[in-house]
Order: sequence, then C-alpha cells, then structure tokens
Amino acid sequence: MSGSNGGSGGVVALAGGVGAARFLCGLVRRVPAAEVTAIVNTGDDRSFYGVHVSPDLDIVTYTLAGRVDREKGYGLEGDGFAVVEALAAHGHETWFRLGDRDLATCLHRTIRLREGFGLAAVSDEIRRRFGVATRILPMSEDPCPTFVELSGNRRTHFEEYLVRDGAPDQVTAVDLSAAAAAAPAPGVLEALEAASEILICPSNPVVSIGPILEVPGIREAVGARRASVVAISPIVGGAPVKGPADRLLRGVGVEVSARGVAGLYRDICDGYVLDERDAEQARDVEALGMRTVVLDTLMRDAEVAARVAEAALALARQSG
Amino acid sequence: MIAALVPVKRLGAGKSRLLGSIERDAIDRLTLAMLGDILAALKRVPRIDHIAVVTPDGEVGAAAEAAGAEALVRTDPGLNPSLDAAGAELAERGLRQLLVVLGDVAGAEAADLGALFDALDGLGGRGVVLAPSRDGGTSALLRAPHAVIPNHFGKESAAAHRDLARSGGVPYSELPLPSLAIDLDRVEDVEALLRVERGADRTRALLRELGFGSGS
Repeated sequence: MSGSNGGSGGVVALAGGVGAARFLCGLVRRVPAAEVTAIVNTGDDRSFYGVHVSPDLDIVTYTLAGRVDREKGYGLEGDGFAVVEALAAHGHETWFRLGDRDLATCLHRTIRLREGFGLAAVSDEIRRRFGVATRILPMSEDPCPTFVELSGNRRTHFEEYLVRDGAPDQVTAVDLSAAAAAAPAPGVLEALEAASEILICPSNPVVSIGPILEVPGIREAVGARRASVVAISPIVGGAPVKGPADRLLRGVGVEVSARGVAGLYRDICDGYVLDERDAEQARDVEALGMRTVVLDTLMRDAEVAARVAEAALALARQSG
Repeated sequence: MIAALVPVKRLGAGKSRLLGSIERDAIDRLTLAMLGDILAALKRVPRIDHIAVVTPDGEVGAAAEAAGAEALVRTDPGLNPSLDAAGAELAERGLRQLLVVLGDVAGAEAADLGALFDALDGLGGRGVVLAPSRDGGTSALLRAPHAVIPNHFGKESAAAHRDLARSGGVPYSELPLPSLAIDLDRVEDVEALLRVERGADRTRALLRELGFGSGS
C-alpha cells in the first residue's frame, strides 16, 4: 500500500541533530539507505574562527557513517582537541569545543563555499566522503540563524544559548525570521514532492523542525502530502529525550508533552508516533485528526530505532 | 525583487534634539526635504527595483508617492517592529535583497548606496552590509535574504547588528561611507552636512533658508 498521492522518490525525513540522527540509523535498517533523503536544519549553523560550522548536518553525517562520538552524540569518535586548546591559549573563546578532525570537515566546507559551491553540493560531497549512502540536504543554502529571545530583552544565537549559556529557562520567543526569508536549497522541494513517505524525526519541534518548516515553500510542500506524513514525538514521558526542547516549548507557549508537539504538526501531519509512556495521550492526538501508533521509542540502540522507523513507515503507508 | 525601504516617523514626532534650534513646522518641512533627497538618491541606484516608505503619517506617505515610491502607511508600533512588518509585506512579493536607509540620512549619494550592493557581491550575494552613522548608529543596512538578521535599529545599533551577524555566522561587511555617516539628529549634524558640498539638495536649501550655515 502507499499513501493516496504517494510518489516513488523514497522516504524523506525532516531532521535536526542527535535525535534525528539516531532515528535515521534505524530507518536505514528498514529502507535501503540510498532511498532515504534527510532534509536537515541549518538554523544552528554558525561561524567559528571564520569557519562555517553546520552542527546538524555534521551530526547526521557522522552518525550515519558510524563515526560519531556516541557518548556525546556529536563530534567524531576519538577526536583530539589540540586546535581549540591552542586557540584558547591565544585567548579565543572555545565554548564550542570543535574536535580537530571535526574542524577539518568544517574547514573543508568553508573552502568549498569560498570556491563558489553551494552548501547542498558541499554537504553531498562530505557525506559521500564519509561513505554515507543516504542523501543529506541542507534545508537552505542561505544563512538562516535561529535567535532565541530571553527575558530582559536579550537575544542570542541558538548555539550560544545552548552551548555557551547552558540553555537557561528564560526563553520568551524564538526568532525564525531568517529562515522565513530564505530559499529552500536546490532539491528540497523536489524531494518532498517525489517522496513516497515523509517522516518528521524526533527532533526539537521549535528550533530543529521549526526552522525547516519556516523556509518558504517547505511547509506547503509537506502539507500537500499530509496523507503520507508521520511525525515521531520527541517528548517521552513529559520530557525531551535530549536537549532543551522543554524550555523552548514553554518559551513559545506550548505544553511540554507528546500531545503538545502533535498540535504543532496537526496541519501537515496525518500520523503520529508516541512513546508507550505517553500512551494515554494517543486519544488527544487522535482528536486533533491524526492517526497514532504507540510503542517504546527510547532509541537505546539502532534496532529500537529501526522498530520506531518501521512503525512510522507502516502508519504513513496506511494513512489517507 | 531588490527593494529599498525608508522608515519615517509621524510629522511632529521626530527630531526632538533639533527642537530649540528650529521651529516645529520647520522640522516637518525638513523631514520631507530629507525624504525627498533620499528617494532621489535611491532612484539613481540601478540595482534597486522597488522603493518603499513605511510611515504612520499620511502626509509623508503622499510625499513618498509623489516622489515615485510606494507608501506603506501603517500604524506605528515602533521603528524595528514597523520595519519587520514592512519587510514581511514586501517579502510576499518575492523580496530577495532589502536595503533599509533611515529617513534622516539626507546626504546619501547614489554611488555610496551602490557600493553597498558591490560589497554584498563580495560576500557571495548572501549576508549583511552595514553603513554606520558617525555616532554608532546604522544609517543603511543591506541584507540578503531580507531578514537574515533581525532589525535592531536604535542607539549603538551598528554594534548590535554586527554582533547579530557575527553571532549568527552571517557574512558581514561594514562600509564607513562619508555620505551615509551623517544622520541629521543634532545641530552639529546639520553643520557637518552643510560642510559637504554635494548631495542633499532639498535639505541643504531648506537649512540655508532657515539660517543655518550663514556664519561659516
């Protein structure tokens, strides 16, 4: 079975960082990796030392390559930190601790961008070099910095909020206006139109999925395929599995729950995967007009992630 | 679309720091003269294909239209929110690059405004180019995409915009351009403008009529 207007372009996943990357590792156990396209948030991209860092693109690439630092969920396994330590000795800020080989990836990206290649082409080159068969697309080639607004009229880039400041609970708003003014990267809208199923990874709905959907044309392209779109809740047992989604959801006035996140996706999503710890919320999600499936979604390993992906795909294929 | 956007306050509300040296009525004439000069300069920049003025004032709007610009006469929620709203409105028509020039940068010359676009080319066509005023403000802000950093006009806004670009990893260039450095705010700005012998024809003529520069 396929969705009512399903294409044959494989599975497209909207992805943030760690949660998405773990989910994608499961997905490619059930679907040939080359038939999966990840459209990845670039709202966290930022320049450090003149080098273009794309945290989510690299987390997804490294994780799918099996090279990620598993304990942290980002960076490369066994990487050294000689460069940032030397930079610190020169008085530079090193709160974003880029590993040496991780920095080399970013430096390569920067060199390529300066040569005139687009971020989509460079991301594709990097994932191939890491041996990743899954297509990895940035949401946009335009700079799309996500700013977090905090009480006291302060405004800070998301990575500064998250990494430098430790994600304080004083969020009053999230500014996605740069994403809203950006253009989708080449291939993004085409991939969404051709997709057989579209999955929204268990990523932060505010600062990971939010910016992707804010890029003009993407929300419409996903919504046009609503019958084939399934999201996986990033909230398990009333709390995010990782990261500051609770503080950001509260900051934008959304309940920190599987049900609260479902409400954000109701217009673009027909199916929703909840964790068994939140089973009692399935009825509320169904009342929003979404179909649900409930299972253990805590992705301790790739096989659990594969079961979550399988359930999401089954729901997408039954929908409509 | 590549658009220029000029915000202008309600007549009778601006230039409080010039009051005392000029009558209220003259201040309003000065506001309109400055707008006329800026619009004339913007019209001479080949890259710009649309010019809009956002203002809460119908008379300012009428003057903008008479000068061939689009008037966005809107309620005034404050400078930055009104720029946000006007940018969003222009974006619905396919805005790709947005140049904001403040309404009191009367001496702006087309060549300097054009240099901002050249600098954006130098950034690869994406990012922020800022022309500071000499008091640390932002006289002109060119962005591609149009909202790549938020509007943060006001006191010390050059530093604020620079920090937003740096913090966001957005390509950034700052051009201290002489004709964009003077925003007419204080009496010494008036004197500085009159010392420059070109541009700002309407504003300069009015200032001389009001008795400025006669002793120098």
